[in-house]
Amino acid sequence: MSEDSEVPVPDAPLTRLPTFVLPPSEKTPQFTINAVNKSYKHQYANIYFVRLRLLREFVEKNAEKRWKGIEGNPVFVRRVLDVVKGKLCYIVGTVYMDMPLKPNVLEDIARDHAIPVPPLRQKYHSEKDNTMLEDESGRIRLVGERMKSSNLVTGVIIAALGIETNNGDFEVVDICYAGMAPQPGAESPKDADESMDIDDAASFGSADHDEWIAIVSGLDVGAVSSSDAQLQMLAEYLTGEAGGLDDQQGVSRISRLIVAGNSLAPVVINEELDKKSRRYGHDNSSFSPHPTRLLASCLEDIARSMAIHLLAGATDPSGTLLPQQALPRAMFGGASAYGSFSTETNPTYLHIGTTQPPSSDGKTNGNASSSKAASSSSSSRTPNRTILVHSGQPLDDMFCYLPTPPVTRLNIAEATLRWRHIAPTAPDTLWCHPYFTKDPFIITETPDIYIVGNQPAFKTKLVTERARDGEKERRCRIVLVPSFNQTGTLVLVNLRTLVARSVSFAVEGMTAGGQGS
Amino acid sequence: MEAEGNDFPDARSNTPEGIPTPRRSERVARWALIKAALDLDYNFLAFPIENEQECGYVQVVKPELRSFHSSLHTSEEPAYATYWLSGDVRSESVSKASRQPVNGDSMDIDEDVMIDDDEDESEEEEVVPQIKITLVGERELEAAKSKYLRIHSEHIYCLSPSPVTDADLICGPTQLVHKKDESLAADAVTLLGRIAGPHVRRGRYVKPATSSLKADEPSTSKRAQAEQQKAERDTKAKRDAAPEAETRKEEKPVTSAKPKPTGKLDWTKAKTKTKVETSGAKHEAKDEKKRKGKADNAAKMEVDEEGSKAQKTSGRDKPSEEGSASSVKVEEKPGKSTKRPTPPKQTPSDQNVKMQRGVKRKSALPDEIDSEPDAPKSRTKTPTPPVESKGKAGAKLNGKKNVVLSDDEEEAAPAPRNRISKMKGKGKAKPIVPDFDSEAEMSVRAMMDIDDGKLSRIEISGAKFIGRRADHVIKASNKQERQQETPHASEPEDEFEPEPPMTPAEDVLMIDDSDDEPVKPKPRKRKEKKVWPVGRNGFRKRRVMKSRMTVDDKGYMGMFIEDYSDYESVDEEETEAEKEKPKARKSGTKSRKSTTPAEDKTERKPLRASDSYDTHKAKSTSTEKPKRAGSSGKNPQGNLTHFFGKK
Repeated sequence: MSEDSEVPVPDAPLTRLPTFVLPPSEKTPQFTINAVNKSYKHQYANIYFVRLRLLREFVEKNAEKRWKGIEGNPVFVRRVLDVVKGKLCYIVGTVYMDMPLKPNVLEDIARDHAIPVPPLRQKYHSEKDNTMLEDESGRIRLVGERMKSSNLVTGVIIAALGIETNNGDFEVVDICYAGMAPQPGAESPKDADESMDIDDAASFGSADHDEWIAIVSGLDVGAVSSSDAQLQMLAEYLTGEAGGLDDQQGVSRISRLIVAGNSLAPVVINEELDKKSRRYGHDNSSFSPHPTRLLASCLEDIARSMAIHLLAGATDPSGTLLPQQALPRAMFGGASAYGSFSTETNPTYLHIGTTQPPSSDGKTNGNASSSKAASSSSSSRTPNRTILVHSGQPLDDMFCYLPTPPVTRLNIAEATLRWRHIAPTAPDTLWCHPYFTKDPFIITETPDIYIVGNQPAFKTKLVTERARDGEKERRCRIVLVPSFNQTGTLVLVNLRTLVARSVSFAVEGMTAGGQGS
Repeated sequence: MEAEGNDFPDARSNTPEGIPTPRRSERVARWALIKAALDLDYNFLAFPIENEQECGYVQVVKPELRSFHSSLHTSEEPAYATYWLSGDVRSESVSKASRQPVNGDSMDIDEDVMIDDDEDESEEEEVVPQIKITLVGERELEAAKSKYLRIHSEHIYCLSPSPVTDADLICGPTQLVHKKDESLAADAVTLLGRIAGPHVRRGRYVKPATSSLKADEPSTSKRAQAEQQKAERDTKAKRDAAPEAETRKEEKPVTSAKPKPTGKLDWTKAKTKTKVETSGAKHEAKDEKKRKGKADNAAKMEVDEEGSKAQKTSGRDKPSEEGSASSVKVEEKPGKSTKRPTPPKQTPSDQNVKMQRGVKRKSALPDEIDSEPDAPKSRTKTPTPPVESKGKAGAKLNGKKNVVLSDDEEEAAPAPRNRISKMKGKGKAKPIVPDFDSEAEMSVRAMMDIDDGKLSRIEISGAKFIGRRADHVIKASNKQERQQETPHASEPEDEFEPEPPMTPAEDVLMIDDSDDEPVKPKPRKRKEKKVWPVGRNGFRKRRVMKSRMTVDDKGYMGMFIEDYSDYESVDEEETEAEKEKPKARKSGTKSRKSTTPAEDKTERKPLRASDSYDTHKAKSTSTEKPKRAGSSGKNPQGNLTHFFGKK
């Protein structure tokens, strides 16, 4: 075989399949906090009130369906304190986990400040935990065998079926959640089966003609153990410079990249250096703009050939409260010159479609070539997709509440869909904006793809909820994206079939930061 | 090997669509370039990034580099190749590799969890195809290949004069490449072999927006609302003046004589008004309140997510599950939709009023919370204008509630439903009809209020309760202050609630702010210090003010005080006598300086004699009062200064 033939040359320059960001639907919340609503004066209790007010209805409905006609004829008691002893009933309320190991703000206040702050616990879970159910009237303790396997966290709205005991506790027999939210673009079961038939056949390569998206998180540029080589490999792979023809044909299907947080490594503050006098606001010996520049140049490389959505993460220079606001575009130098590069809030909803939406003046955005491509891609069978992305903080926080091994991160992510809430532990242990009249973390529409960034390992699952009452089946692809710096993993998702793949970048025979080899 | 590589045809081979195939002469030149780069310029030659501008299309040049590398095997100065391998691997191997956290102790728990999860997740976790891309030195190439199930591609990634031991060295030339890329045109990207799509474009990022894109306020900023209200209050007053001019023809003199809203109640004016005028004022107050109520509702609707709009229209017919939203106001209860007014019926003035959301209204409680009647209501930060805060029974109730913490009173308070009906009655023709959105919000607020109320009743020692108590204290003290300021307005004070109800959503600090605002105008009244001339005797000169009785053109006799803007020296005895005077005046309602009782009578005469005396004139006289008081107030200050000066 000739050496030249080992790297085949494409017949024509490859073109990336286009997808377009569609206008947000009216039901999906926006997480932008602008000057008008940037208010910190409200009490956090409002969030719980609003959450209960909004989700109670769905939980009640589900509970009624589930427990109607069962033995004992349970009645619905509207207030948790109105429960009658010895009578089978079900109640709806907000879960509160009373955990001795959970951080407590009152303890923080009462703490002696001369003593250094104890390190944060990795787990709040212990044997002494109590589960409460509360509503506007009061709270009642939930007990029973069922509670041991319930795996609940603070802030979840549930219905509990059971009987009040002599101690005043509520012995739970069964638990019911709100269930998955409606999915407007959901396929009927028949269509879903058809699309799933070709899942296996749809390989990521020349035979595949579907649009894909790529997701990466935890680039951690500037970390002590950086993975610059993998990062460069990633950029070259996505732009199509590296790899063979198969690789390039596959890459040409990837229409956009989502960077799900933690793009920059956390800044390590050296207190000794910090005390030194600074010039121009920063100490040159300890501060380096290198990570930002490196990230900007990497993103610029990729932005030349594909659209990018960049989310802020826990270690990024953004606010701590959720929702984290979009990073300033100006941080990213040349990449910000591209209209297809956008910085997003964390969490965020992305609506992606293959048809270019008309702009406000009725014209299509972009130049003539893009509109031409849009028309050509309109023949695509890929439906519009709603993608919910966050950088992993809510899941990490919930993970602290629950015992592992029985519970996995994938379980928790799936549970959030059934709870209809992305971050139920906010504002208890997860810091969030003090919303007054809304709780944007409530899932009002089940997304097609639910991406959680900065997880320890790549996991994925297609969660489905059976069609009932003539409704369409609800499907959601959960993707836990690992930290790229730790694992060198890029995740690809087919927008039509929701099939996921992973691409890992590694080096062998040489030392490298990050994953290494 | 090299000979094989040199056998490229000169003409274009199988690349009809414009992908350039290098000619022989070009290839020789490039090889020389690569060699030079290896030997001289850089220790490292990254390919294809480093010389892609010179080398052309990436895929075409890759085999060329391979040929070059194989040609160097025979030479004395070999180059070491690093290979790019890509292909499918076994899922287990990749998943295990991806699960190994390399650094950071913080991942220890996750690691444990992952290990533990293996058994459980094997059932639920999907095993997906894995692609692995590896950079490997030529020595480890075969070992690396053995790990792949199927290799997609294998090519030389870079050449180096020595084997690569640190992978990060590969990134060395990246900065140079970036610089070169910056000088290239945007279209050159595709010519170099990068894959670009039509949706990738330079220019400003345009966020896609729906036609019905709404303000996505997660929370309602009251301050912002207050500012908005302030800004629009004037415009609203102008707009409302036109349609209401006919109905208030008789009141016109009163309204036209209205001073600018300073945030302070002037109850003296209310006393001097005739019955007709007061009733007119009441009517106006009711109108104002009515408008305000509308504005509140409208503003609530506006401030809320506009997503609720869709649900307002469609949510009624839909099953309740479909109508879920993250905002409270979006929630609707089927069965009450008939109460909701239709938006198209709103007049332009109503739309104007819509924008005037300022203070929070007392929320009407729905049936759900009937058993919790006396929930504390929301309370505004902005000072309510005097007219707006005029008498409402509900407000009165709240006012009492905010001050008195009696359980009996709470229980005795009317049920929320009654309150709604009461409001309806008060609101006359168009009361504040609780539409669904606002009602939903009200119910949520009411839930919050109930909770707080309960907290206060059961006396849980919590921060919220403490804050609430503090609030009551603040409220009570403020009320007292207000009563002191306007002593003869105590009756309306009880009747009219000057402050809107309070929500638990606002803490004590906020309330302090709001309470401070009405007091703000006070310090403005301070007079500027004047430099007084001092006479020879060391005493400050006295300002000469002379009064004179004259008859004006209409035949009325009046006294006019004339300021000669001159100063006379005073004796020490005189100043002592003067010292007593201002105090006496200060306690009285009138402060006149150099008027005799006879003159006083003559001055008051026109006011008392004629009932038809224009209120406007009366007001003009009343407006003179502060001036006189101010002028009289200077003397004691001067004397006091002198007192200290003497020491």
